Amino acid sequence: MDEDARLIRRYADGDDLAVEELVMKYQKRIYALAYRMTGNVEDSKDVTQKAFLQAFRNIRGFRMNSAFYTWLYRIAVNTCLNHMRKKDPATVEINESLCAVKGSTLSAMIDREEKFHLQKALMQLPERQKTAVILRAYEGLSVRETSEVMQCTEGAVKAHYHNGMKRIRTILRERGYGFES
Amino acid sequence: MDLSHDEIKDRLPGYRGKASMPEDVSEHLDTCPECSEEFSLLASMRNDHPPEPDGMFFETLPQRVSALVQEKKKKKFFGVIPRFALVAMLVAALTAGYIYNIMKMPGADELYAFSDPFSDGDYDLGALTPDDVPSIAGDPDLEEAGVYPDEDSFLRDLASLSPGEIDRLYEKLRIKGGNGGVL
Repeated sequence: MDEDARLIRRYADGDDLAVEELVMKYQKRIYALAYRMTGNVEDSKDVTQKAFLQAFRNIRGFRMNSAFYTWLYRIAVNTCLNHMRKKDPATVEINESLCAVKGSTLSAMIDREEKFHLQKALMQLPERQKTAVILRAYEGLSVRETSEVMQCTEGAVKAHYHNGMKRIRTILRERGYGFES
Repeated sequence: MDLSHDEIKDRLPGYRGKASMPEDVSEHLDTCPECSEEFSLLASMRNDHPPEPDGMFFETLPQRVSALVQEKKKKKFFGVIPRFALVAMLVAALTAGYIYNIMKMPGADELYAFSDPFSDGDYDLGALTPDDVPSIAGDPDLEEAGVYPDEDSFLRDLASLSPGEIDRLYEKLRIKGGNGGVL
C-alpha cells in the first residue's frame, strides 16, 4: 500500500490529520494546475480549496485502482472547468503594452512579458486541448495518466496535445516569437 | 531502439533536458526542426512557474480544508437527525391513530376493558336491589318460606343486606335458637 493509500485509510478511520497531510502534499501541484487552467491567482486559490473539498467529500468514490493524484487531478480539472464556465469568459487580464515586444526567441521566453504571452496563448486553446497540454507539458503526466484524468483514450490525448501545441506555436509566431532550441 | 518521428514527439514532454533522453532521441532532435521547436517550447513552459499566492495560503490551506471537511461531516450527521425525528413522529402518529380507531370500534369496551368476574352470571350480586330480595326480616322461617331454592340464591340476598338488616336477622335467629350461621 503506497503512502497515499495509507493516508486515505487513516482518513476513512476517522483520523482528520490525514486530510491535512494529503493537502500539504498536493496543494502546490493542484494550485499550479488551477493557475494554468484559470490564468488567475485568486481563482486558482478558490479552485484549489474547492477541489480538495470535493475530493474529500467523494473519497468513497476513489477505488484505489488508479493513483490518488490522477483521481485528484481529475477532480481539480473538473472543478476548474466548472469554475470558468460560471465566470465571464474574459478571465485573463491582458496588458496590451506587453504585446509590443517583438522578435524574441522562444528560449528567451523566461521574462515576465513572454511568460504572459505564453499564458495567453494557452488560455486561447479549446478546453480539451488546453487540459491535455497542461497535464502533459506542464505537469509532466504520461499519455496514460493524462487519459485517466481526462477520461478519454490515449489516442485522443495525443491528438488534443499535439493540436494544442501546434496552435500555441502558431499564436506565438503571430506575436512575433521565433523558436530556437 | 528505433523510434519514429511521431513516437519521439509523443515522448518529448517526459524529458527534462537533452541529458535525460536516449541518444537516438537526442540525435533526432538535432535533425528535426519540428521536434526541436517543440522541445524548446516545452522547456519554456516548464520555466514558467505560476506566481506564488499571497498571504499564508499554503500555510493555512491544510487546516482550512480539514476544518471544512469536519464541518461538512457534522452537518451531514445532524442533517440526518431531523429526518429520523420526522419519521419517528409519523410512525407515532399513525400508531396512535390506529389504536384510537380500534378503541372506537363497536364492542371494543367489552373486548379490551377490564372485566369484573363478580359481575358475571349467577354471582352478579351487585345488581340486586332491596326490592329483589323477599322480606327476610318479616319472615324469619326462611326454610319454610321456600324463597331460596338453592344456596347461591340465599348467598346473593345475604350479601345485599344492609348492616341494620343483618343485625335484625341475627337477633331473630338468636331468639329463635339458631346460631346465626347455619340455617
